[in-house]
This record gives sequence, C-alpha cells and structure tokens, in this order.
Amino acid sequence: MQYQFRHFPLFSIHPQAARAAEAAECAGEQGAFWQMHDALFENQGQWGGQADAEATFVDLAGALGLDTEEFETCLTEGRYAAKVHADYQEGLAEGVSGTPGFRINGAPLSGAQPFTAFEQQIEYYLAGGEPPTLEVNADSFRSLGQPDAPVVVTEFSDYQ
Amino acid sequence: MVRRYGWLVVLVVVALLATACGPQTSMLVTPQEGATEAPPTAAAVETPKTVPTEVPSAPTEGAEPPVAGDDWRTLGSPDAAVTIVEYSDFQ
Repeated sequence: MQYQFRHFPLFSIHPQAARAAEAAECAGEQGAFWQMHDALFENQGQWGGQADAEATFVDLAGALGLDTEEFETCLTEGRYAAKVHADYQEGLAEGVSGTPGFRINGAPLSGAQPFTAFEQQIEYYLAGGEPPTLEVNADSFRSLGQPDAPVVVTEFSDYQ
Repeated sequence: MVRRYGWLVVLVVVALLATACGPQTSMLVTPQEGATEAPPTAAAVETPKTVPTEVPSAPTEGAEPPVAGDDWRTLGSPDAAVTIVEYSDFQ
C-alpha cells in the first residue's frame, strides 16, 4: 500500500494551518516530516490561534533534534509555501471540500472515518476490485454513472 | 667449487623452470577461474529476483513502510495495489 499526505490548509477558519504545513515540509527536508506531523497535532493547543505560532514550530523542531537555525531560515523564507499551495490547488481540483479528505485509488472518502471504512476499501482493491467510474450519460449532463445501475441517487438541490 | 657452481646452475635452471611453469599454470588456471566465475554471475542475476519479492513482503508484516522517492510525504511502494491520498491540515 502507498500512503500520500497532501496539505489542505483551510485558510478561512485555520489561519496558521498553511504555516504549519510549511513547518512540516521544513522538517521533512531534515528527514522528520512525519515526526513534525505528529508533533503539530499533539501540540495543536500551543500554536493554534497563537500570534507567535512560528516560535512554537521552531521549539517543536528543537525538541525533535533538528537544526533549528536551518529550520527557521526555511520557514522564514517560505521555502515550501508554493508546494503547500500546489497541494491545496490539487485538493480543490480533486473536489476536496474539508479535512481530512481521502482518495483511495481515486475514490473519495471524506471526514474522520472509522478504520473499517478504510479496511473495506483496501480489501476491495487487494481482491482485484476496480476503481469506480462515473460517466456522464449521453442523454443528460446532470446524470452520472450507468442508467441500469442497481443503485440510483437523485439529489434535489438549490444553490443558496 | 665447480661442482658447487654446477649445483647453483642446476638450482637456477630449476628455479627458472618453476617460475616459467608458474605463470603457465596460473594462466591455465585463470581461464578456469573465469569459467567458474560465469556460473556465480548467472546466480547473481537470479538473486535480485528474490530480493524484490522479499521487499514488498516486509511492509505487509507490519513494519514501518519506507519513504519512497524524494517526497517525504509518501510512504510505501509506488506500484502498490492500493494508494491512499490524505488531504489534511494541522489545525
């Protein structure tokens, strides 16, 4: 199995999330992406909503035994700002609207899901299952999938 | 004295023969070594086949998957049957 992490900072409600993502990347440069990933979540209360969040990021880097001077330089110059932004754009293109958002072989799984939700999908693919395909019907651009599918979901919606 | 020198000449000739034969025998041996080295290279070709089959089995045994490529955000094998992408923020 392959596992890929993509940054999807919710700018509007999480003002420090993008900088935290950059901090994880700067740690990754020193071989400690996943350690910083864990440290950021574990110490969320120390930097979330704090004006001096970046000082906390440097402290966390120090606690992980990283070169804090290099880490701070990386963070200050925004070395990975573009990478984080590119991730966010990729997420938008994939239709991600909230976090955490997952794609298992391309199929979406949104929100904090129980382990069994992942297990079910993983077992399906390991058993040789194919990713679902949604094709627009020729007769209606509002319909997705096969006309003779066993399950049909109809959504009645407005835009406001 | 002449007999001693005569023995010396005989010794020198024997020594020269020995050294002359030495390279010849070693040259005969070298192709054999080369020939014996050929099967090990054929065996060496087979050993990489067994190594990749062992590598994917390691993560399935519950070990920490290795970081793939130069992207430290990706874990596991790039040719895995299942790829999970997580879009997340830290806040």
